[in-house]
Amino acid sequence: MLNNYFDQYGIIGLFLITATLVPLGMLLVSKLAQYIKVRPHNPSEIKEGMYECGMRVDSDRWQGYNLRYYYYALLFVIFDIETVFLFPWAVKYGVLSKEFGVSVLLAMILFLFVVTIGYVYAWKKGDLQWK
Amino acid sequence: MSFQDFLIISPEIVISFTAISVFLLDLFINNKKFLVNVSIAGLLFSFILTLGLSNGWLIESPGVYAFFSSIKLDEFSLFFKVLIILSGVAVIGSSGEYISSNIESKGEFLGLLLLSITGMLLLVSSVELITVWVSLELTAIPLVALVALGKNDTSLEASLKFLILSAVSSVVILYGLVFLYGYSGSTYFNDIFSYISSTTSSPEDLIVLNYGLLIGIILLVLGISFKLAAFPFQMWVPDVYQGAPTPITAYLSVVSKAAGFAVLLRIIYSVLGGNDFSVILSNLFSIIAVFSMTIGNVMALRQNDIKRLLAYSTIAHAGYLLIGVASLNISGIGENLYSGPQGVLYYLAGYAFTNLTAFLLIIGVSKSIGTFELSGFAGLRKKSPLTSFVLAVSVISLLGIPPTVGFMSKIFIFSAAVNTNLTWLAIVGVINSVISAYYYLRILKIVFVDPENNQSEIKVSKSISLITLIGMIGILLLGLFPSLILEIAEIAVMSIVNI
Amino acid sequence: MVFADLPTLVDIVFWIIALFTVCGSVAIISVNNVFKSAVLLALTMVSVAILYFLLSADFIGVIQILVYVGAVSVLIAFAVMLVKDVPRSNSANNLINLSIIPSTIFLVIIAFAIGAENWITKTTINYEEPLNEIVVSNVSWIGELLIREYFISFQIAGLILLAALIGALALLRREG
Repeated sequence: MLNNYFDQYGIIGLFLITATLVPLGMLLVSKLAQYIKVRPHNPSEIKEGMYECGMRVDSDRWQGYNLRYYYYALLFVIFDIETVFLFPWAVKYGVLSKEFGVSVLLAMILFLFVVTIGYVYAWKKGDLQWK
Repeated sequence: MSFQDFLIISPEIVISFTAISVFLLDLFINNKKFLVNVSIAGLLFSFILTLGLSNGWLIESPGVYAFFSSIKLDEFSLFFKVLIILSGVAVIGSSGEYISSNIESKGEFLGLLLLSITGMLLLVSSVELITVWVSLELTAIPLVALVALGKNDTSLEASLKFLILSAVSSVVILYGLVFLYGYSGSTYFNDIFSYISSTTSSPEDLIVLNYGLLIGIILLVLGISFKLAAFPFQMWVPDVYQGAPTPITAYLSVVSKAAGFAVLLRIIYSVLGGNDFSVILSNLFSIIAVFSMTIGNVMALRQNDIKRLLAYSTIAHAGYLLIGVASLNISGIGENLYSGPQGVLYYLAGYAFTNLTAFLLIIGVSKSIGTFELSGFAGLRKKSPLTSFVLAVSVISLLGIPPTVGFMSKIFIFSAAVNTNLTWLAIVGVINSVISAYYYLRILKIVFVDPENNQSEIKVSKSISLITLIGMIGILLLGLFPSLILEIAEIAVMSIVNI
Repeated sequence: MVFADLPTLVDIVFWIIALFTVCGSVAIISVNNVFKSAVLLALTMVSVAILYFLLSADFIGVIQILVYVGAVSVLIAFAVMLVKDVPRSNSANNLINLSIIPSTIFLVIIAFAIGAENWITKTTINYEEPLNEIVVSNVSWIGELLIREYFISFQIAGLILLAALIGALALLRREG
């Protein structure tokens, strides 16, 4: 019974292990190839540098980001939490609506109405504009 | 869910929809004065609904459950609802001028304050652990933003401190609730109560064997002490009270504290039944009370900023109130079994009048003199006799001198402590009251004796004058006729006791 | 079956993940670079999600990954990127020696309480359906609770989201 449940995650676990081992194995093979002189080893500054779409890196990583990103991340978190409530409600909707009728729908509409006020607010105040 | 369920929480529904309409109206109209009126109208409407609920106009009688027993409307929650709504009206009604001159985001300020009030109202009536915690969050999250909405730089710092400590206390409370749930297998107060009473033969058993319950309750009490501004979580109080916009300071010191005590009393008397656990709980509350009183009073001695001074005084008052909570009737004999919690309710009502009067006057006066330093209040008597008289009455009530409500409430609390064999705690309380005389009388000396050092004219707005005058009348009236509240408090306490 | 002696395998996975979670948490509060702290936090949240899966709370585990790893970590990363001197940004971690005493006391008390309490295993779940069904369908089960028992908490959660969104945006505007 429970074994089935964990079997399913066991497969995910196997997948995770494979996903970790494959790239590690590739690096290992490459290293081995260097020892048996298949792969040449002559590092240069450009090779050692960070890879950024093939361009030469010209600035420090730790530069201040635009505060605007934060607005979007914030709005996204709220959306995300909405999903948390929407998903189980939607899964059970069919069963529940037979028992409670339209009030199941109204409950979710009330919740969404309240949260959507926040988005109306953000939109109208211009928080969604990239200034 | 029936229609009656929604009637029972109609005050909360009205206030939350007022908050939503304030947010929306703020987007579309420019007259911000109108928003204040809308908020007050919403609060008054929900006040009428609360009266309707208590008088049997809307439902047959209090004492009913709603929403699968997660909300209970009883005399206890009605008492706190009236207290919270009226304090909300006083805070918003008197801060119209403050908001228009000191707050940039006016709509947000009012709407978030209303949402926080909604949370408080739900908190005092919830009888289920998850509802309690979610309501607690609804009270705390708007407050974090409200503290930061002031214009001064200390406001942000205060908000950050408030946010971090509020989050920590929420987590501590949640951890306590998890222990309670794990111990009893239910999140409903009544089920937990019946589980506790079914598993135990004697009170000693309960303490020795049930570590889950013990740790759960201790964590819960420690976390709630943040709301009460009491000992383990009192560090935020001075900084936040100083940095926050003054109406929010007034709100925090009265409403937040009242809601915290409501949860505490409900858990003690509804979940634990008030008896089995009382020895260890009484000790815990006594310790917290002694530390809160002493820290509050001793630290207040050296303060020169009136908001900081009143912040420390708030900590001390939380200590006095906790004496009332600690006065659990261990033996279960005597005439008045519940004089402790009854005194707490009376104290909270009187404290609401007193502290709101003091803080709202400070809003009015400091706007004219432009500072919160105590020295700025020098010579206030000459400039505005009426204002200084009202301030004097509220300070005397905070100190506890007759004929004010502060005196009577301390009498009730201390006598409850003596009745429950906690005489030492009452003595510590009296000593602390004597210490507090120093800084309260210092305010009076500065206001009445010291020569004035600036020429600024004192102009207190009409709304503040009106509300503080009502507050002063309340302080004197409740002090002279304590039975006005005490009788209601007795019914209220009886309605939460599970035996 | 692939795994014949599953309980022990679950135990092994649990201890590995638990160790990982604890080490990750300690690392979060002991590195000086706040960005590394943020990344470690995300990793620790993943391992907490795995603990939820082990407890058969698969929906909560998914939510943990979706919300905490997917959204909150990103939010934290953006906040971290606003910091000026990232490599030395977390100097408060130097207080670790001071904080070790109260944390140890707390740990001992809690561990003792958890160990000594005789936890009941009763639950309000009605096991009429086979356990497997309930475990698999704990999503729909949560959906039912949201509409029935915890309806009021569900609506309060909506108000909290509204308050958090508007409060945070008002604060951001105050700064920006």
